[in-house]
Amino acid sequence: MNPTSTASDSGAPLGEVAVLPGNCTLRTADDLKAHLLPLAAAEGVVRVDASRVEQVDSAGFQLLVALGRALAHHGGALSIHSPSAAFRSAARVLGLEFLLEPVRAE
Amino acid sequence: MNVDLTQFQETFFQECGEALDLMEATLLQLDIGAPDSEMVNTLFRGAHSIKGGAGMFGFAQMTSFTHGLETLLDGLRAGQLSVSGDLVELLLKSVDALREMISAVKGGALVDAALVDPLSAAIAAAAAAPKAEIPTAKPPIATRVPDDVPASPGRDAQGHSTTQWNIAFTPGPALLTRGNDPLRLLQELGGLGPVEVRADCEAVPAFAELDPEICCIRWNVVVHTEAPRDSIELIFDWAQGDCELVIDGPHRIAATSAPPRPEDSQHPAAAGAPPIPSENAAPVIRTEPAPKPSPAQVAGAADHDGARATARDGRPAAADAGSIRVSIEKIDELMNAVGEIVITQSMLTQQISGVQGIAAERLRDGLTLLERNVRELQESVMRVRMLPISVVFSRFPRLVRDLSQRLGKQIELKVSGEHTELDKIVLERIGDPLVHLVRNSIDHGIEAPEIREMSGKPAQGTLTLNAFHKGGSIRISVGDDGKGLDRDRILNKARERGLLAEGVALSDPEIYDLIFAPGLSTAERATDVSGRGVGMDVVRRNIVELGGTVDIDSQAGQGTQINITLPLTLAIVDGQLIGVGGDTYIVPLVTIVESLQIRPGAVSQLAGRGEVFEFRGDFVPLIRLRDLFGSKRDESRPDQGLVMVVEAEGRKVALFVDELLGQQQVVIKSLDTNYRRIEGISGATILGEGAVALILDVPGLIRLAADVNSRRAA
Repeated sequence: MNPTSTASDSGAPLGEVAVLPGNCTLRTADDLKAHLLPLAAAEGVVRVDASRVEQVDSAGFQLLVALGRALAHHGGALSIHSPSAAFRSAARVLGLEFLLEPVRAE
Repeated sequence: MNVDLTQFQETFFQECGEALDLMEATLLQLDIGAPDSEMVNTLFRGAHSIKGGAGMFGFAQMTSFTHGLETLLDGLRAGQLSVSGDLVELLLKSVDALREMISAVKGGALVDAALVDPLSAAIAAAAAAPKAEIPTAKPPIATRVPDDVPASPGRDAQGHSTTQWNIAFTPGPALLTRGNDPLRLLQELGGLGPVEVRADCEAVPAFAELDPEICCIRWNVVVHTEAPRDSIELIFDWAQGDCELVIDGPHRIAATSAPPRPEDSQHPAAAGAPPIPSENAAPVIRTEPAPKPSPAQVAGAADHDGARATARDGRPAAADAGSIRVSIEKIDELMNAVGEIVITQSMLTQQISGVQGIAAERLRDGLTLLERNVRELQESVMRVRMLPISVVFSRFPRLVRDLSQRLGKQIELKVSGEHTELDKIVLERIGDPLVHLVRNSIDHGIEAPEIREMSGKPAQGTLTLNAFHKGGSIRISVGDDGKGLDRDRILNKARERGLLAEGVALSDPEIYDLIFAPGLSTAERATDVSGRGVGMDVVRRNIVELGGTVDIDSQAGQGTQINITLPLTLAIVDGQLIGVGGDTYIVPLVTIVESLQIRPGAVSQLAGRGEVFEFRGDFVPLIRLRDLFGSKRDESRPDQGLVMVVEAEGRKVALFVDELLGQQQVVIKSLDTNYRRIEGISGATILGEGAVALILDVPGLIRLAADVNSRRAA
């Protein structure tokens, strides 16, 4: 899951893309943080593909919340793409569905 | 990072054990036809808490099994099912199956599906069988309600509850690492009814500083449910101490302002409902109850406040915030530390003994006070190790019920003194011998109902279990009003087996004592319940190993009572201090038969068998402890000293000692752990003045003496 630079499909400013692994839980949270860390300093919209997520818990979501806040701090945003059913359902239960809202390009 | 949940598994297994014991005890008391609602709640909570833990550790088989069980118990709680004998039987089997699952997962295995699946199917079938005859006064389980149902009391037009609870949930730093995922907790809350969840992410630190193991998101949740507070608290049961939880409610809201439909989930604050304070709250998300709501937490709502009060009382002790679970090792460490303080204090007392003056006097007063406080401390630590014998007794109602059913006997179990306390280690090791004795009483003691009636006794037999303190010991008795021991049969059997010479006259107690001899079973036929004669000798050996004794009292036709005497603890022993060659040793008081001055001529030399001492017309082997321990022998006075006759495992031996010093309770320290195992020595202790004294292991000494003599003979 290495973040790569790419152009936004929607014509948003250049941002980073990351693919979340199947397991985004406490067990793997340290690895997940290490993978997402380079993105935290990115500018513009960072796109995260959540289509492969099979297991996710509060620890996994907290990392995404923190990433979103870090990006917002310098004017960027986190955009979560193609969330899997497990991801979507967990977001709803945790009251974090706002993470799934589409990010409009500035 | 890999969070190791295994460290919490042992606690889970222990708590499961407690929950299952409680469930079993409750099932045995359940009044068929008119079950006590508190008891049914207790059963439900047991299943629920096992399910929660099993889910947390990923024990899928156990989770799905307890889920079915929970559904069935829910039906009982809701008054939809009635309690029948068959149902109790099914639930007892489920408790057994869960015990097997726990022991299986402990070994990393699964229980055979052939055992579990039929039981799961039976549970599901029982849960699906509606109670036809008795109409329920309670509301039905809240499943998904069609949109067009008319509003009923406690529900709005959509069938949603008009009662709401506001819950503020702030995870503590250890919540995640202890396996409590807020996701699961919130999911379970959703099972109670429609919820509105606001996540407050303000406290989440900057990404680089974020510790992924610490959850900094807080939640405010509104739950619309008729379920009582208990049901909500139960969900957070496992997170107790690892989160801040404020449950506010219940709030009655107008039926029209019941929770919003999914489409207006962006406008959650229902009119009349107290708003949830959250300045930085994310948009509110409302989740529908899970398709299969874990339900009748809702259905139990009819008795709402009543249920709240009673449910608390029935809560298993493990969840009681007034107690903590401490490993026995920690208590032993504490005990050792107290021992060290005693030694230090003795040293100080000795050092100051020659000092004069006011300051020294004050110091002595202080030391006297210290001595008293240390003694109290030592007694308190000892008490911590003590547990009530009910821990062991609690398994017997089930055993008696099952066995008596199987053997077609009617037996009433009477238990008394179950609050009598004894040391945990003793308690653990007395369980199996007691089970054996109880099985024997049921199988061989108490007669079949028709035989009892023929001999003018009530058809129902009585089995009594009693425990009480006597002196520094605990007495446990297992008694029955059965046919009593058959004196002649025992005598004949003993002679047949060559355990007894012809023509030897024995008193009744001595004859009864023969049943503890290896290889003697007097049962007319051996059954799989008991009675192959391999048990009673093991029972006695276990009891003797604990430093206890066992005796029998029996009356033909009236019953048998077996009395066990055990030391209260294995951590301290009442000892006789003896001097041998300038050293001090300790002999456990319980093994001493008699101490006497040696008479000239009482010691004889037997060819090849060493020395023997003439004791009450009998000859017992004599052990000169000076020789055994390699102390210097006083050749000038070979007969000077004292003889102490000690007995263990039915054999006597005479110990030749220099002097008797006094008696005291000593704290036993293990030599195995601190040094290595030595034959003839069971442990060591530190005396008041700081000297180490070895505690003699009398059975070991007897073996040692036999070895020495056989070497001499060779």
